[in-house]
Amino acid sequence: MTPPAVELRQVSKSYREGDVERAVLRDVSLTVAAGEIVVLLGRSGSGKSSLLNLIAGIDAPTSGTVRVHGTDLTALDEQARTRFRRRHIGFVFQFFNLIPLLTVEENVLLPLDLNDRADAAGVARVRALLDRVGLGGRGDSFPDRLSGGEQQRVAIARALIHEPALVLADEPTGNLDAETAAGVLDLLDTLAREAGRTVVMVTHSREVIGVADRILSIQRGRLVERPPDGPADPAR
Amino acid sequence: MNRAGLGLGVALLGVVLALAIWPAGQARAPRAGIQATLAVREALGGDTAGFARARAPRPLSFPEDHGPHPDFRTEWWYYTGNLRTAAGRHVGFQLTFFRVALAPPEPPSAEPRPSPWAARHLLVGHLAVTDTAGGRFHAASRTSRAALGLAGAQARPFRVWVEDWAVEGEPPSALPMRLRAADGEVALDLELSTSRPVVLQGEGGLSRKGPEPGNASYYYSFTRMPARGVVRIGAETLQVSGLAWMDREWSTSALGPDLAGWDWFAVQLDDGRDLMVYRLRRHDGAADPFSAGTLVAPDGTARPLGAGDFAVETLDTWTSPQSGVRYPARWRVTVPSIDLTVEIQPRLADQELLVGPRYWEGAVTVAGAAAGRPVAGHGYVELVGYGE
Amino acid sequence: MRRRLARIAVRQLRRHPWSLGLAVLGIALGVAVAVSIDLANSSARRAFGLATEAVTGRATHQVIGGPSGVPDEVYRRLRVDLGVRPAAPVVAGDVGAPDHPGRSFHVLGIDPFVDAAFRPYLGGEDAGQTRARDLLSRAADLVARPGAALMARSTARDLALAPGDELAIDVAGRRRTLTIVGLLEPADPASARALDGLLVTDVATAQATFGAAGRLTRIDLIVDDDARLARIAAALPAGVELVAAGARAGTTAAMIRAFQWNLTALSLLALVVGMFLIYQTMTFSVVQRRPLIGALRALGVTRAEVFALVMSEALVIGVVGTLAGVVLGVVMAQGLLRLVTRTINDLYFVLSVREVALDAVILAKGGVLGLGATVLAALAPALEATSAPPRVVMSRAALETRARQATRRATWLGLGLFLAGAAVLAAPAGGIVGGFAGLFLVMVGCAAVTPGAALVLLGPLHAVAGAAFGMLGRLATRSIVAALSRTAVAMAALMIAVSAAIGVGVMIASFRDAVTRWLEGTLRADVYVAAPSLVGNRPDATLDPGLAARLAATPGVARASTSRSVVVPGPDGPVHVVALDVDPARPPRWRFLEGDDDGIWGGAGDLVIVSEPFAHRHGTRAGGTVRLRTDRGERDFRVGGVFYDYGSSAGTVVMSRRAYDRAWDDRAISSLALDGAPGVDVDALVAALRARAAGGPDVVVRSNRALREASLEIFDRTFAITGVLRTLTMAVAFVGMLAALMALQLERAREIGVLRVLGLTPRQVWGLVTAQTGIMGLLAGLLAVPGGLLLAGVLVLVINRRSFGWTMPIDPSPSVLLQGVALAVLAAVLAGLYPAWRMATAPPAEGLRDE
Repeated sequence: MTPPAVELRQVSKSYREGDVERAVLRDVSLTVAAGEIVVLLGRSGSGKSSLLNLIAGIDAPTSGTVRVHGTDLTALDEQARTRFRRRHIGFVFQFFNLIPLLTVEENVLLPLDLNDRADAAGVARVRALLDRVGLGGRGDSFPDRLSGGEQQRVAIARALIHEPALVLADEPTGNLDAETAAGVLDLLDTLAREAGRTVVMVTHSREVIGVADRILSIQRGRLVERPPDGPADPAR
Repeated sequence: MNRAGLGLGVALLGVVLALAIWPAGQARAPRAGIQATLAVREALGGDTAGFARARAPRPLSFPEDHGPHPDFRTEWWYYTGNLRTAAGRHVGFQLTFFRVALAPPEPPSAEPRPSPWAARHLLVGHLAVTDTAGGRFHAASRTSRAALGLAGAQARPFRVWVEDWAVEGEPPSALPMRLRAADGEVALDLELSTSRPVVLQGEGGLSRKGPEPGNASYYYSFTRMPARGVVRIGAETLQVSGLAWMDREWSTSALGPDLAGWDWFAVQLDDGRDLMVYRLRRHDGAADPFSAGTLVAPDGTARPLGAGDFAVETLDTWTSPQSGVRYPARWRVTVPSIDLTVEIQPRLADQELLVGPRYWEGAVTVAGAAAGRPVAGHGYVELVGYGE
Repeated sequence: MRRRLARIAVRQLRRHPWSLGLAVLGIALGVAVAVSIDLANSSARRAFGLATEAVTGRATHQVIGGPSGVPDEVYRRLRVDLGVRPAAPVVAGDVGAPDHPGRSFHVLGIDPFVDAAFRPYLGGEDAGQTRARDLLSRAADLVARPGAALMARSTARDLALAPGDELAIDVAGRRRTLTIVGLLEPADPASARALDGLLVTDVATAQATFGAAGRLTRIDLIVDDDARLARIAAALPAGVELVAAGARAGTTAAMIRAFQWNLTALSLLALVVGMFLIYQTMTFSVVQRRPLIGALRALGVTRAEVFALVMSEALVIGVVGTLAGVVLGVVMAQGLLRLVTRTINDLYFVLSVREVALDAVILAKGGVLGLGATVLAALAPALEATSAPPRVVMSRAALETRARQATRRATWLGLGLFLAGAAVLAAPAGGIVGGFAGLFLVMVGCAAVTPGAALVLLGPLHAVAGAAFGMLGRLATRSIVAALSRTAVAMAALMIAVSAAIGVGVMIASFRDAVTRWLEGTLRADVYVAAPSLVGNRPDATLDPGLAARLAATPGVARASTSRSVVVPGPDGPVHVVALDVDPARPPRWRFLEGDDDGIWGGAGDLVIVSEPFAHRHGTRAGGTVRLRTDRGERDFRVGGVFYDYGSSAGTVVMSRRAYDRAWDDRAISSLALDGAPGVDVDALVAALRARAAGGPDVVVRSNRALREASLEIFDRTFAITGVLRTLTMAVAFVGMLAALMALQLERAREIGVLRVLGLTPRQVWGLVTAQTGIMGLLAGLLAVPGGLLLAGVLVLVINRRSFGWTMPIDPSPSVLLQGVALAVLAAVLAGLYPAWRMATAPPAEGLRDE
């Protein structure tokens, strides 16, 4: 039996701020099935980005376990977590976070490079994917020549190129106008579903909801499950 | 003794010199201030060990005894005189050579020192010229170790010198003597002969200074030395002649602790007699019983005077503008046994020497009466130990 | 400034304690090096001045003689026959103190009865408190007691001596004893320092001590009347002359100044590197806050206020750093003083300085220097900040475009500076100061072309890195270019420091090489015998003639030749003359700059050869003449050739012993060169000679090899301080690199965070950053090679020649260059270690946190 794509058990996360202990996540448990697209809604500061970081293995929980495709990330050391992430996780950021010193093509190639797959076939795949996201002729441009929507499309290509099992997206449309955002979401949705990728996306905007298989909301560090047809923004 | 005192005080010169090399920074006390610290008694104290002492009269022979007596601690050749140009312009002079032993005589076994600079004696010269008409008093000093021909004293031929100042005697008798010295404004070149035999002071040349034996000096004088020669004052070169007085004394002993200083009078009277008296002053100003003098007759016979044989009365005082010290400035000297009363007056008020230990030594005029007849003369007076 | 703005400044500084701390450290080190060198120099110079005054006193003129001094009789004649006064005899010399290793004394033999006018600061006890009789007895003691000496109370305290104690001294190998009869306690500290290391004796004692009965070192005079001077000069016998006081000290002082100039210049280099650091810190803080500044401007903050904001931040760094630097400088001065003094002692003059004289002026100068450097360095970034238009957040790319434009401008500026520097260096009248001014122009030029040159070099490096390490390699090189506005400054600073290291290194290596070859040519005999001398370079010791003859007759000695080394008066100051008794059939093999030594060694005619420094100093050429004051009066000697010599920066005139003996009455010898018979073991011969010399006065018997080693040891000691300064400059550059990388780390947090999310392991991040710093170091190192060679060229061809008068072939040994490059890489990598570690271990989430 295949394990769930993501499995969080009673995960808590708190940060120390001076003498005060600030809890960001409290007792969060969550299971995401493989191929599912889950949207996490929440206001700024609700803890949704932290949750995403825990799933990505970028951060470690204060307590609880995080499993991705059966691998307990909390049991791995930093090195192993990084290798796991390199192989199995794609990430899309709100601020695109392309490496300004690398060209568009190089940015997309980077995950393959890290997985030692930046060979000729890899380059061909990168070009094909860039074509898919509509940036076929822009491979040699540097990111700062691109518009926000274009940059985010490059970022989506970068998140998918190494065929990760899990794609995490942190407010992928947060910095885009509505029209561009819709295009980007559509692209992500299409590409992810095409390849059967599991996607966990956090956002506070409702445009995203349309692509979701399941919608969760996060309030003051606690996770609340709601049906896809529930109120778009529980915080509102 | 007087000079004796000063003579011993030559040690003072050493002190001044020592101070001169260690003035402790440049912004120290002015010169007079330093000298103010030089108590005469300080200098007259000191270690006499290893030196010969004057304990008993001894025969003196010349010219040997004109020469140095290095076994004694101090010694001097003291020349003073009153001179006149043909036009009657008066000039007083003093030229003195002191010898001070820096260390007791060496044992004969001592290893000779290789350097020609090695010295055991210091010679100091004092030169003073009183320009009565010009109202100026010039004084200077010379100091040098007795080595290398820089300074020294010898009997045959008689010669005592400090660098370019010298007295030389014509061999074999050392008479006449030639005095040469110059410094800045003044210079003198004089020839001194004598018309009288040597006068042995005290007991046949032994001059006692205190009750303890050995506390004495050997002391002789030429009291009347016709002098002639040249004195230069500034740009003027004067042909002069007159009478000089020579004192010679050597000793080792110290001045008693109860003495503050002395006043010394050397007078040449126009009746042909010469009178020397000194008054030793105690701290309270009273005369010490060892004060003494000598009266020399025109034929050269000398008669010693005891403390009770004369009296000195101070008639006036003068305060030095440089040192601030107050000196007696006019005296009445009486010798009752010969019915002599004279008043002694400085040619110039300011004849204070500040070239070494501070003292006053100056030309004076003498006027009075002897046995009812008026008498006049001139001489030199020395005042030591004031302002301490 | 407005309070809110002030608060921004304070918080900015507080938020970046690392860059703040490093900038403070950088400026502090720079100021400290400058202050400490200045203090050490001035203390040494002051001690030199005092020491010269202690012996020269207030004399206006001096009567000096040839090698054997002035006969006593001259003094007697002056004083007694000519009535010259004030005049004072002096017998002086240096002695060792065997019971107090490492200490030496200057014996000053005077006549206490005539000396007061000259040396009043021999100022002793308080006259008011000391009994006059004690003073008299002390003066009497000094003159009448053989071996009596006075010393400063402070010196006596150091040596635990009291009046009445004996002090063993070593006079050219002979042991003598002096008795301390009194202590000198001058009222003011300056005089006290002057007296430190002085033994005051009577002339007689000094003559006995030095075995110079009948001879004076000199006669001091105070004369202000030219007619009188002429009369005195006319009365002096041949071989004795009247010179202005201080002429002798002046020559030595000039040479010491040249040496100290070199140190000062090196110390300023550290400050220049420190300036880069300030510039860099302020540039960072401005670039980083451009959006903020733009926002402030939009809120109505004026340009002047923005300028004041940035400058005030810089000033805080400058003030704190300068204060710390001054304090640190005072501490360091103590150590440097030892090195400075040692070199001066080795080369020029026996100097006893053990205390740094804290001169308020120097401390203030250090303060002004530090603050001035800060203001100067912060000026550009502050102006840059004011140009930020309101509300416009410039993209990084635009900034970097501007940086590239600036790079082009800097390159042109650098080329201009090169030209200016070359022009200044070429001006022959520039002297040492001109030389250093040119040198600085060239160095700043080097710094200015660094960014441009780095860009050029990065092209091929980029390809290499890409080929070797793939995308990460390219990322490493690209990030240097991308952050050029930051990296270039750090690289330039490092480049300057490494250039200095290479330049000075090449200079020293070339110098050492030249000295080694010179020693090989000069030291031809198997064994050398000399009287021990306190100063390697000073010809003051003589060898006992009987002993010399005995040693020359030692079995196993095939040949002996003698040398006499003296200082004689010349028209332009004293001249070091060496008379060699050389077999004309076996002439020494010296290298000649021009002319040769043909016909010299036969001793016919007044023929001499002169050393290069001598020729340089006096403008002498082969075929010209040298005028020397001989015992027969002034005489012209024809110059046959100019030879390379590194023995004395004052210069040397060499002649045959025969020619010397014709002109001087001095029959003494200074050293003996012995050749062993074939088959004789040199070490055995040395032992035999030592055994033969035992019991007599100390002599130094050294084999050729030992002498060569000793000479090189002095050489190395001389340059020890240069090494220290080089290290300090490198330290400042290192701090600069560290600061740059720390700031870059701050700036790249997000980028690194993204890379980490994409799967870069911490180790890979570490490797990436280290590769980047290594490349920066490599670039700085590569650029420092031409810079260093340029510097070496200027040092050897201009500075050394102008300072010391000698030249040498430049020998850029590859090892020195490689070491320089390695040093740069090492410094950069070391500086990058910590920032790289921080970047690698930073939680990626932190870097990704929303702006």
